[in-house]
Amino acid sequence: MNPAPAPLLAVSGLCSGYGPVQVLYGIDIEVHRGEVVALLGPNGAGKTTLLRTIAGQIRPMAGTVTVGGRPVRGLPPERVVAAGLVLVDEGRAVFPTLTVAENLMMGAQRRRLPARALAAECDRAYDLFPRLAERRGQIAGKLSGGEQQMLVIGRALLAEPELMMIDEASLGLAPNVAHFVFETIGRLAAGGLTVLVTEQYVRLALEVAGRAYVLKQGHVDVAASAEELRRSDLVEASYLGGGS
Amino acid sequence: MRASAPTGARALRTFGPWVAVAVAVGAYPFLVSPYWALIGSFVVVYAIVALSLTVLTGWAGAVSLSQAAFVGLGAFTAAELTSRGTNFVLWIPVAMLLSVPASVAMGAVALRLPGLYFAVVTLAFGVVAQYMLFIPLENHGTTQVARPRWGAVDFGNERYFFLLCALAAALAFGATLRIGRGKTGRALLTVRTSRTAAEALAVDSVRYRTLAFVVSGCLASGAGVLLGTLIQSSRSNQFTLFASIQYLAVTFIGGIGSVLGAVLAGALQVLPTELIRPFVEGRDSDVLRQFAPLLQASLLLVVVVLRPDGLLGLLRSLGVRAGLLQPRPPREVAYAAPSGRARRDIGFTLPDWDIPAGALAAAVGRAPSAEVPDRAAAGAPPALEAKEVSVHYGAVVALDAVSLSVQPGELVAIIGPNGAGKTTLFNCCSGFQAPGSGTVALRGIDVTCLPAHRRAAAGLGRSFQTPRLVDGMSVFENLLVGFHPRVVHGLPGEVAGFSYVLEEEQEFRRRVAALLDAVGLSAIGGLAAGDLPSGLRKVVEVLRALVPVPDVLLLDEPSAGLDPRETRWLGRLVQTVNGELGVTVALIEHDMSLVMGISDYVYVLDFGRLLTAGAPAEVRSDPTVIAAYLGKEALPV
Amino acid sequence: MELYTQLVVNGITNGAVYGLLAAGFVLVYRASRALNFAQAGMGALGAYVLFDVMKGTGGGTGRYLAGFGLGVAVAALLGLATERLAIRPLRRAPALAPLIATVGVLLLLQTLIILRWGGDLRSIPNPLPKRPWRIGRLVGFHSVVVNQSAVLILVVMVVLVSLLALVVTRTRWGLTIRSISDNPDAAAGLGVPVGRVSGQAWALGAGVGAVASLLAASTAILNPYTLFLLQIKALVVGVFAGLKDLRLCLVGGPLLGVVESLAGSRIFGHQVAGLSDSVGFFALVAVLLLRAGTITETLGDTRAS
Repeated sequence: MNPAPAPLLAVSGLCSGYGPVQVLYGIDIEVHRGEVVALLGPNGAGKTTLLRTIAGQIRPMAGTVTVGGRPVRGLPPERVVAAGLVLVDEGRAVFPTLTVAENLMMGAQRRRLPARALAAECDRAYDLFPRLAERRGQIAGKLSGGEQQMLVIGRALLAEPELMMIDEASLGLAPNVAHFVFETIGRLAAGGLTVLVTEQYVRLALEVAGRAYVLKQGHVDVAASAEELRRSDLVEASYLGGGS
Repeated sequence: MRASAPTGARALRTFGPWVAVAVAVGAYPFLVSPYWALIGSFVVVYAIVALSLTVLTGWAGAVSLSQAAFVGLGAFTAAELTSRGTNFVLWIPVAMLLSVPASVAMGAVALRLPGLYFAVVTLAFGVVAQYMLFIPLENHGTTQVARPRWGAVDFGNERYFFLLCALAAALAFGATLRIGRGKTGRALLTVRTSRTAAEALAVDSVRYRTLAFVVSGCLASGAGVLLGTLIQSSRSNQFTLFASIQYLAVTFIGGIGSVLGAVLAGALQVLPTELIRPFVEGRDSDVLRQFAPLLQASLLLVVVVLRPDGLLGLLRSLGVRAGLLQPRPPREVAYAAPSGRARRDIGFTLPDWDIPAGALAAAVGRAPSAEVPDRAAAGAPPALEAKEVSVHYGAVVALDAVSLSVQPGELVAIIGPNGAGKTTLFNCCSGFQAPGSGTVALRGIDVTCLPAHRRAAAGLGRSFQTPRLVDGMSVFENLLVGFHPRVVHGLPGEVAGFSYVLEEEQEFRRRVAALLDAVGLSAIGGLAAGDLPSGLRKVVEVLRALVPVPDVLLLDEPSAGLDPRETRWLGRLVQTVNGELGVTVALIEHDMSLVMGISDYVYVLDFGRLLTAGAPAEVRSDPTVIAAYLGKEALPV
Repeated sequence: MELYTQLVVNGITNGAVYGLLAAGFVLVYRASRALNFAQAGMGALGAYVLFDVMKGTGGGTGRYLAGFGLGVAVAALLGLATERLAIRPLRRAPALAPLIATVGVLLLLQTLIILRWGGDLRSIPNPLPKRPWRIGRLVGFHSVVVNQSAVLILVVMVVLVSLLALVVTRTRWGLTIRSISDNPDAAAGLGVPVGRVSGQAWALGAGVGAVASLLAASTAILNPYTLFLLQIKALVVGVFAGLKDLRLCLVGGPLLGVVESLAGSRIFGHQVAGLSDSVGFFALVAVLLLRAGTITETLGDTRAS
C-alpha cells in the first residue's frame, strides 16, 4: 500500500489577522497536486486573509504552512513565489500603466529568461487568452474587467507556479465572463496546474472544483467533495442558516 | 474633619505638582546668572514653537516644513511695531491676527492635498515668506526690536523677561491643554483618525481642521514675537528652511504628540550649543554653530526609524519598565507605522445579554417608548427615505434607481451579495457620496444637499464596517465624542472654562458612565480603544453611534468580526435600542441569523438593484434571493 | 523685445539644472513612493568632493572628469545608503515618515558640509568653456548672448534625461521600476526584490541629480545654501511632471527657469522683490491644486460592499 502522496499545500492551525484584529482562528486545509480546491464562505469569513497569509503578505500569529513539504510560513512574498506559490489577488491587480505585453513579461521576471524564451512563454498565454493577444499593446488600465482578470491569471502563469491561488475570481465580472474564467481554470487544471480558488458564487466554483472548504467566521465550517456539496444543502445552511 | 482631609489630599495631588513647577520656574531666574536666565527664555520660547508643531501634527495630522515662516512673522511684526512705537501688549495679538489668513489658507490647501504634497507646499511657502516678506522687510530696515518697559519693570533685564516668557508659555500651554483634553480635542483626534467617522458624529471636519491650523499659526507667531524681543532683532537668515527643519527635528525628537515633549524640544534646540560652548569657544565658530543641528539631525534619523514616539516615549517606557509610571495608551503618532501587535487577551469577555428591560432607557434618560407603530401608521413621514438613488462610476452601475423607505421605529435589514451596492446606498443616505440622481429625506425633510455632518446633527447616526475609533483615547473618551451632535457650547466657552460649559461636559460624562454601566461594560471604559480585541472595538463603535440617541441609526455590517456570542449580544442591543428607545434602525448585514431574528423588514440588493423586499421569512425562502447568494440557478443576466 | 528674448534664453539654460535634478527625483519617487528631500544635499556633497579634487589646480580636463565621476559616485552611494537605512525600514509606515527621514538627512548633510568646508563662497576650477556666444539674428529674433557652459549643461540635461527615460521605458530594469511604481505589492507577489531594486533606483536618481549639482557648482559659485535651495526647484518641476513622466522634466525645468527669469524682470516698470525666487511656490501650488483631482484621497474612505 502506498501512503497517500503528501499534499502540495498543507495549512495547519493557522491563526492570522490584521494588527489588532484577528480573522482566522485555526485553519486546517490541504491541496493535493493536480486538484482544484474551492474556498467558499460569506463575506468576512476570512478567505482573502487566508490566501494572503499563505502568500506571505500577512504574518500569521500561529500555525504552519508548507509547500511541497517545505515550510513557507513567515517568508516574504518574494520567497514564497520562489517556492512555487503564486497568488492572483482579488481586485485584478494589473500594473495599470504597463501594456498587456509588459504585464505578462513581469510575470516571468524572476525567471530571467532570454528574449526568445520570454516571447515563447508569452505566446502560451496568448494562446490561452486570444483576447489578450489582440490587445497586447494596450495599456492594462484600460482593459475591461474580464480582460484584466485574464491578464492577471496569464501573468501569474508566466511565473511558472506549482500552485496558483486565485482570490474572488468572479468579483465584479459579468456572468458569462465569470463562466469563461472558470472554464479557463478548468483547462489549466486539466493541463496539470494545481489551483486553490476562493469564490462567492458557489455554483460557479463547484463546476470546476473537486473539493471545497466552506469558511465561516474564521474557521472551516464544512469540508467536502464538490459532489456532496452539490447534492446537499450544506452550503446553503452555512451561508443562510446561521449558527454553528 | 475626616471628610475634609481626603479632599485636601486630593487637591494636593492635582495642584501640588503645578504649584511646585510654578515656584521652581519663578525662582529660577533669580538663582542663576542673567546669561542663564536668557538661555532659559530661549528654551521656553522654543518650547512654544515646538508646541505649535505638536498641535499641527497632533490635531491635524499635518507636517509643516515652514513653521519658521510663522515664527519670523512674529519677529518681524515685533520689529515693525517697535519702529511704530506701539505698546508691547499689542504685539502678540497683532502677530496672531496677521498669522490667521496664512493659517486658514494652509488649512484649505491641506484639506485638498494628501499629507506628502502638503509638506511640499509648506516647503515652498517658507521660501515665499523668506524672499517676498522677510528679506524685503529687512532691506527696508525693519530689524530692531526693543525690550519693553512696564512701569518700573524693565524687561531689558533678562530675569524679568524670563518671567514674561514663562508666563506666556504657561498661558499657551494651558490653553492648548484645555482645548486638547476637552471635547474639542477629542473631536480633533477623531477628525484626524477618520474624517468620515467624525462627520458621522456631526463634527464639521473642515472647521475643526482649520482650527488646528489657526491655533498652530498663532502659537508660532506669538513665539516669534517673543523670540524677536529676546534677541532684540529680526533677521531673515534666522527663519530659513533650515530653521524650520530644526524646529521639526527637535519636536519629533522630544516626542511629538505630548506637551512635555515640547518642553524637551525647546531644551534640545538650545542646550546642545550651550553644553559644547566651553569646549569650543573661540576656536571654531562653525563647530559651535553646527553642533546643534548636527546632533538634531542625527537624533531625528534615529527617532524616525527606531523610536517614533521620541525621547519622551523612550523615557516613558523606561519609567513603566522601572515600575514608576502607569502604562498609558500611546497617543497616535502621525507618521509611525501601526504597531501590528495582535491584541487578544485583555481579561474581559462580553457577558451574555443580561440587561433588564428599561435599564437602557433609564441610562440615557428616556422613558421607554411606545410600541413600534404599525407600518401603515398615518401621518408621520418615513424616518428615512431614499428615492430612486443612482450612482454610476463611468460605465459601472453601483446603484440603479434604488428606493428605500423606513418608517419611524422600524428595524430594517439590507442584505445582498458582495458588491451589491449596500454600503454605497448608506453612503448616499449619510451624505458621504452624492448620488448621480435621486433624493434622500430624513423625517420628511429633503437632505440630499446637506453635507454629512449636518445630517448627523439632524439625527442621522452611522456606524462603519471597519471600526474607526481613536486608538489613543480611552473607550470612555471615544464614547464622549458620540455626544457631539448634542453639543451646544462652543470653543471660547471651553477655553475660558465657563461653568455652564463644564456642566455640559459633566452631564455627558454622567450619561456615558450610565450607558456603560447599563450595558455591563464599565470594566473597559478606561481601556485604550487601540487595546481592545476586534469584537469589542466593533461593539464600542456601535455604542458610540447610539450615544446621542439619533432618530435614525445606520449600522454597516455591525456583526462583521464578531463571534456568534458577540453577535447575539449585539442583536439584543440593537433590538433594545429600537424597542426601548424608539430609534429607527437600518442595518446592512451578512449574518442571516441576526437579520432574520430581529428585523421587521428586509431589502435585498443585487448588482446595484433592489431585488426584492419583504418580511424576513418571505425573503429567506424567495428563490431569486437564494439564487443571488448561492448562484444555484443561472446567474442573473 | 531683445531683453525678453534674452531673459527667455537665460531661463532655459538656468532651468536645465532644475530639469536634471527633477529627473533623478522623479525616478526615486517612482521606485519607492518616497520624496527624497535630501537629493540636492547629496549632490552638494558630491560638488564639494569635486572641489576638494580640483582646488588649487588649474582645472585640467582629466582631473576634472575624475573628480566629477567621484562626486557623482559619492552622491549615488549616499542615495543607496539612505534607502537602505532610512527608507526601507519605513516601508510600512505612513508616507510622511520617509519624508521626515530625508529631511533629517538634508540637515545632516548641510551641517557636515559646513563643518568640513565652511559656509564661505568658493569656486571650482574647471575646464568648462566660459566664453559667451553671440547668437546672431535668427528668424526675426534679435541676437542674444548665451554662455557656452550653459549650453553644455542644457545639452547634458537633454541627453541624460532622455537616456534615463529610455532606460525606464525600454529596459527590463526600467520595466521592473515601473511595475513597482504601479503596484509594489503585486510586484513583490511576482517575486520582484522590491527593496533591492528601489535601492538601485535611489543610487541612480541621486547620481543623476548630482550631475546637475556638480555642473551648477562648477559654473557658478559653490556654497551650500544655493545648492540646497535647488531642491525646491527640483520639487516644483517634479510635481509638474506628475512625479511620473521624465520627459515632462525636460520641459518643466526650462519652463520654470523662464518663468523665474521673467518674474525677476521689470513688470510694468516695477521689479517685485523676491518674486523670481518665489514664483516657484505659486507655480507649485497652482500645479498641485489643478492636479488635485487625480491625487487627492476623497472623503470616501468608506468602501462599497
